[in-house]
Amino acid sequence: MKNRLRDLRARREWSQADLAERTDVSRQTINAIETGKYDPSLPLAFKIAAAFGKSIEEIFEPE
Amino acid sequence: MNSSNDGATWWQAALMICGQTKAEQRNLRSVWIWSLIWAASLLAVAAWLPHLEGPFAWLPALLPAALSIPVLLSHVRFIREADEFMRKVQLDGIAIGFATGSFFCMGYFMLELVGAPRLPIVIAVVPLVLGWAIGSFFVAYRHR
Repeated sequence: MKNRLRDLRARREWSQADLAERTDVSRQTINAIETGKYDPSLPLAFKIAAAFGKSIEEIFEPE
Repeated sequence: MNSSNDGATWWQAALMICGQTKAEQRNLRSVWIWSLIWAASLLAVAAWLPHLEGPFAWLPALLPAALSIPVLLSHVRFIREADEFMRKVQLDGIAIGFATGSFFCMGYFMLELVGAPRLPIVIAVVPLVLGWAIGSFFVAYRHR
């Protein structure tokens, strides 16, 4: 699954740790999602989408 | 604030002390503390037991086993309260450790059948723990 996490994070000037804190996960989790090593669960995808104020489809898309 | 990947160093990955949530840090601290207490009790009892005789030897002999309960409970709590990816990392490490220990035990059993020296069963804990530690380190380092 592809995602725009790094891009959206950069626009807001958030570090991985900032996004991790907003979504209540570890920074490693954000890193693994960004690098495509891990696909988040649906609840976490909703949390990430809420943190950016976007819908899941605007952030994640199937490859 | 920045947009870079502020990854942990190899030793931070090894000790899992960088990037965790507050709950993970708290639970991990508990795991470390109980593990150290258990290890200290094991070493102390192993050194002390040869000097004891009779029923008085049973109580200290059971101490490490009793202290392994909070170690186990703290580790279970850490895994249950870890976020979904960290749980996956931990379970990967445990799987590597279990596989290493199992394959060592079965493999060495075969060697014993053809004449290798018989080892005490407690030796099995060495590849189990080493496999778990090394497996956890490599998985944590890969995703640091």
